[in-house]
Amino acid sequence: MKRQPRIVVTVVDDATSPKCEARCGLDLSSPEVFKSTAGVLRKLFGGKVKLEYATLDAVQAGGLAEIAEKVKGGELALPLLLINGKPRVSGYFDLHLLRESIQAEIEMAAM
Amino acid sequence: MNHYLGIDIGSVTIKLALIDRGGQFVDSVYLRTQGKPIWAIQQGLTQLRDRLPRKVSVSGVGTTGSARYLAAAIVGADVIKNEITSQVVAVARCVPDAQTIIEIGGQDSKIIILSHGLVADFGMNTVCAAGTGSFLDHQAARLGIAIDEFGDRALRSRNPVRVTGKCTVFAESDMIQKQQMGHRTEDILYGLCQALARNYLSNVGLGKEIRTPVVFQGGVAFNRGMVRAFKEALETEEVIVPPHHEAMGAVGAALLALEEMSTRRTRTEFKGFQVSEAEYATTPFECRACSSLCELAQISLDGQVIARSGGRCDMWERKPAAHPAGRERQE
Repeated sequence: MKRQPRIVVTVVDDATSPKCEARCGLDLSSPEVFKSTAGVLRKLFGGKVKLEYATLDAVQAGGLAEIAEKVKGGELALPLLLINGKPRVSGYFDLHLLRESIQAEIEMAAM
Repeated sequence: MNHYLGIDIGSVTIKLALIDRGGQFVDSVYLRTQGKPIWAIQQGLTQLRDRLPRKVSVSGVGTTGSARYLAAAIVGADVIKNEITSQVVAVARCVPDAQTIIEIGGQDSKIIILSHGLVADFGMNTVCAAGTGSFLDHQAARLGIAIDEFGDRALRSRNPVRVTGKCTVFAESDMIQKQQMGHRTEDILYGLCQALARNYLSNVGLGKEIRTPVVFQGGVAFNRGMVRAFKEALETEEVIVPPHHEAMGAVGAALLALEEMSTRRTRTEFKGFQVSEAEYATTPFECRACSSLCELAQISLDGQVIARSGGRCDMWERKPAAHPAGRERQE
């Protein structure tokens, strides 16, 4: 039986949302960047971590309506990094920050 | 006498803290890495050793911070932990009733929400440099003010100016404009503190339930202007800057080492203070595991590769040094 990932990383973004002009960080809307990032996470964390990309509409429809509402209300910014459904980075992030957030989550769970 | 060493090494500063076997703080060292992490580790160890009585022995080492794997390889560590874990462990001991931790370092910042001493929520900053210590450093240098004087000068502000804090580029041009308009430097400095606090709360703190008492730590907590700005922005006087606030990550790493060694039957991995005398060689290599194509530093001692550092994902940092880097390069 295939093991379920313990950590689900969801990157929420919306091409039409207002963004910082600098556009620093990862753009996971690009299939190439997504594939490459998922590959790095696999190498780092094995099957423990699953990376997902979701639009704001998909998040709203998929049971995280409260988070989608917070984004619409300006309480959270896009792109939004969710780990197991909880917002961890609100705004642009890079690979370093993505990895540190996952590592923190793993260590917190073990505490 | 058994003591436990914690090392928190980031991109801007290194902090070393020593605690005794009862978990009490003994001493700490705070240095800028100046872009030379190995040199900084060696300097920190030398300074700490020179201040300690001869009878002090290190029975356990913990490392944290963005270069924690490098520090562990150089010094020999028993436990390697993420900064959030280390910060929480230190606060749980020093300020047990804390509800929120605000931590602002040289190039990053974090928020940790606690509930009954456990982590209820946390968040980290974005890649944006606005809202970090380096941003304050840069602006202080541009205004010709020593960073140590920044906070006291900011507290002398009478009419703080509103500086945009959303972006470093806009903040700098805004400050230049305010200078040209003839505003007092003190008012610009405190305006900058307010902008940084605002930016932190609307970025890292966005959507988080900030409850008091709030513990403010990290190097930026040295800046008394920032402490006042947070008190104002949060509308509370319950913003606590704990003693040794700059070294809390290192204290936490030392506490984690103490905990680890209390359950372990083997000796510490610590290589001794003499590693500060060793001569390390560094050679570059490029990782081709993803599109980032990170250029890493391969660190050797006496011809043996002991560590790799500088990648964005820690893949090489975590691998045993004996792992053949050349093979990955071809993948």
